[in-house]
Amino acid sequence: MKKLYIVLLILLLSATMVFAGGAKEAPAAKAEPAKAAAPAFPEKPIKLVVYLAPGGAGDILARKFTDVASKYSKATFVVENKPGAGGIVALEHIRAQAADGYNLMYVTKSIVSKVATTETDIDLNKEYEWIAMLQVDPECVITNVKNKAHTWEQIFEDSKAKNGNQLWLGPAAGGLDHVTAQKIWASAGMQAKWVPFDSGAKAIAALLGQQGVVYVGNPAEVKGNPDLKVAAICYSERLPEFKDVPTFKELGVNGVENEVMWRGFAVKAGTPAPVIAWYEDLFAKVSNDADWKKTYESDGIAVVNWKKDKFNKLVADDLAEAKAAAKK
Amino acid sequence: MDLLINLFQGFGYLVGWEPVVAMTVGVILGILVGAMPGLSPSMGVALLVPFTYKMPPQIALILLVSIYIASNYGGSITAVTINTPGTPSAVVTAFDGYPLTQQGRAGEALGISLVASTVGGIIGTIILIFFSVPLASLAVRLHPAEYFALAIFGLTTVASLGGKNWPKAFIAALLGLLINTIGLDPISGVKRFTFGTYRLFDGFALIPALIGLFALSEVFSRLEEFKFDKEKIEADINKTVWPSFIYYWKMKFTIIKTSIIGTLIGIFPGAGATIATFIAYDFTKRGSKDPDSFGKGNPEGVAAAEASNSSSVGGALVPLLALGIPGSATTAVLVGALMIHDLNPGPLLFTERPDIVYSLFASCLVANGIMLALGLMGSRLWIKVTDIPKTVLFPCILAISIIGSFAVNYSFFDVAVCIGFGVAGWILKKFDYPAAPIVLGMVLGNLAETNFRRAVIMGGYPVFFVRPFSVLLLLVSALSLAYPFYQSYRKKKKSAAAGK
Amino acid sequence: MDTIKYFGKGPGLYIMASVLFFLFAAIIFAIYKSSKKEYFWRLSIPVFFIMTVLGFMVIAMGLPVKGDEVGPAIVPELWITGIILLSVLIIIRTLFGLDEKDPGWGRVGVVGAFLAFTILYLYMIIYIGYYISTLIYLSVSIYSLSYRDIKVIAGLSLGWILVSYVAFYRILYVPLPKGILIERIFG
Repeated sequence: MKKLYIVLLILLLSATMVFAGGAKEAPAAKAEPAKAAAPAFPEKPIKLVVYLAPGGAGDILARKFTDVASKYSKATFVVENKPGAGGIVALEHIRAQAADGYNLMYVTKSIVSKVATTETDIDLNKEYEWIAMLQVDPECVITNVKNKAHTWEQIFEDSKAKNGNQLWLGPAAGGLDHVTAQKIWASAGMQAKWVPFDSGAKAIAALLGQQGVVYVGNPAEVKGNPDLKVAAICYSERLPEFKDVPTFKELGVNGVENEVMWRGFAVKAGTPAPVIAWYEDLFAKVSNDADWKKTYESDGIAVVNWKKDKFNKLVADDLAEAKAAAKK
Repeated sequence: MDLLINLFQGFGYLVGWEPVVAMTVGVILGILVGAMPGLSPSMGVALLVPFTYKMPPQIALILLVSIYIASNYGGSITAVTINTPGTPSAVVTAFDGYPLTQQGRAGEALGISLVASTVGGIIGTIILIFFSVPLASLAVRLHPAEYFALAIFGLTTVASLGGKNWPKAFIAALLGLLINTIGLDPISGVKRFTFGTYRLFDGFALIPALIGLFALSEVFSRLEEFKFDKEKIEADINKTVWPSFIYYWKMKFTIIKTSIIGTLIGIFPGAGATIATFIAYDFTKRGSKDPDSFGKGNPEGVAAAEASNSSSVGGALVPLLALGIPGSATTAVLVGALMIHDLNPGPLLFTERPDIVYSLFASCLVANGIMLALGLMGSRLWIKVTDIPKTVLFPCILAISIIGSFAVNYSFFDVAVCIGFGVAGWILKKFDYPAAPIVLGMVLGNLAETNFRRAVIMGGYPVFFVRPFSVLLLLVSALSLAYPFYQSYRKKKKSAAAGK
Repeated sequence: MDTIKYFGKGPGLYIMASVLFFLFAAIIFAIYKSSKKEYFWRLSIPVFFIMTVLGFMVIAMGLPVKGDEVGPAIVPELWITGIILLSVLIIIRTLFGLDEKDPGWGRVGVVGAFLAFTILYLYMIIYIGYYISTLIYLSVSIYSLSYRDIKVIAGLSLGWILVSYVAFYRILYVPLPKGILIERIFG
């Protein structure tokens, strides 16, 4: 009888622990508000928080950044992966840190989409300072040359023939690629079905297996595979690395000239101005670095450097748009 | 013929101290990563990627692939010695490996797991070298309906795993599947069973659950029995007896068959080593003359599990090299590692950089050899683990479990989950609910659900019965589900007849 | 449909959870008082499964469905149905005596104490950091499990701390907590 109580106690204890486990960390990480920034930033290693698991393309970009930055600054960057829930775990982590600039976060447009489509109390505009946007990667439509329909005109005809059952492949529903596809359908006046896969790579595998007609992603994804081809890009002009690929505007589809994936960096709002100035100086140097430019421009990515105000506005606009789209 | 010349050149690249050091370091790290509960092969490779930035691409790739190969073997060491699979793919190894240790035959179990891993790894690599192109084009043609059928087939292995406790084994598998649905729905993004906490958006992580269900539950039930010192097995003398070549030779067909199964399942992007081991084990058990001895210390069970998980490495590299598509979590990391050296995996890599591809092939073969050599030396060390007094070992297992589950996401929530699963696993085990089907359910859940729904989006509900391969797999699943019942029915009839 | 949705989240969820909990408590109390007391755990576990997955079922039925494809609720509902059917089967098998009686409990007090100490250890990690708490945890728990060679205990705990520092903190960059109190004091 006594043993029964002990066992029940153990069960209760472990159950409450799991449920309380999530809450335990929040107070643990609450730090005092930032002190006035020391004159010499940085005094200690800067943590670069990446919302993806180690090894993926985004993780590698962040690490490449630390590599290039080491040419221009003595600061030490330590990459810290905080994967989970499409970036929300990392956003929560940044939120719990002091606004002293020692936690820099790698951000992309897909985080904005994620926040817009998830019920969360995170306020992207007020809680974070979006300090530098470094890359613009246009969205595009990729096809398999072995398929009968692989140019945009053929895709369009095929979609009519299939009467709304043409299959478009890509990563999870509600993400940037899916939203882009929906915009293309609306602008072109066509209908198709979105088939969500666990990752872009698996969707490409299905395209290679001719299980669908179109994959939506970024131009660099065709590299290394001769069967894949970029059919049209969502950008205002042709990309220097993909000169033969028409833009949607040239094809008579208007309204998708600026569907892009952007990538950049953010810190917690309230970070002292001198720290932000230090970062802006560093980002300016990195975005002009020959190695940095070469690596990404060959992928059809525009290497830019948007500063704080312009980037903040971009995020606010994208968030409003994504929220409006999610409501539909 | 070209292929052989290229391959020969591939071996040429391995001459020199740098590749040999890279492979040796890779194998040692891989064994450690595999043996450490909490560090899975993909994490091991991912964590090492930053060190390879400054290396020449060949050396970097050789190092990472060696880690990948060896970590699948490393997982078996702890599975055999302390019933704690170091990686998800070693869960099945513990089925027979740990009973062997309990019978004082740890040397046998460790020996067979090493040899089966090596042979499996080599067979997987050979299939990779010679058949990667046709197999890869087959893999991409597989429709989601077929993936779903494969997942169902994997689940049917529970029927024979459970034995007479089959309802409990199935409940365990279904619980794993249901646990897997917690989190954001992978298809529509709707929050399911998250109870308002963002920590559950990705559901329960597999690794902490695995550690809890195996390592902690074992510690708890031993603590409950409270007999640490009576553990000394009377057959202690046999423990360090290492099997001879003839012993392994007897299992050649098991190893070859399960290696082929492992490679083939490894090819499917997303299926992976864990499912391969369950199917290979089930296959071997059904084919055996003495199926009842499985789970009680049959060396063939260890051989099947280890040969299939090691050979799945070769399979997972097939879509990576032939198409640039990662077939497993670990190969996804390898894609990233290749990209950092401005290499784009895919068919063009064979023509543009044959040196990379063929030195990779050659290193897969050589790394397996190095693993065999290091494993033979190391086994004498691993076996010492069984000598550690339990009073010392248990606190250490808890400490390892805690740091291991923390290291997955750097989160205390995962540690709490690990302990929660440990308590649940302890109670369930006490009342004959096996833990392995829960892990299988958690591994297969996503594969089954997303492909089911994807297939319906693509072709409606009839799609499963229209595609021949899917129909075939589903039929085989139905048969393999029914067979154990038919078998026990016949046995009962026979014994009833004999009783008369 | 809307009534079900109400019980899927917010206050409705609490109401549903408490109803299921009291139902569960009542059933296991009845089992305890019945003639099937020797099967208490063997019967309670499947009852627990049924109650838990019923809660999941209610949540699943309230999930939003977008479009005409297979919604997010179908697959969990399938698994839940399976669990309920098999649980009922297990209960029936047990009632008909096809299952063994409950095994006795061993030294559950030891398990409970060990577990409580482990949870204390987690809190210690948060407040005084990984290294000190691990030193305390390992040495105290090994000692209290009646192992008495102090040299081995000290060597092992210090060795483990060294390994975790080098392997996890330095090589694998796992940010082992330094402890809130320690950070406060030493900045």
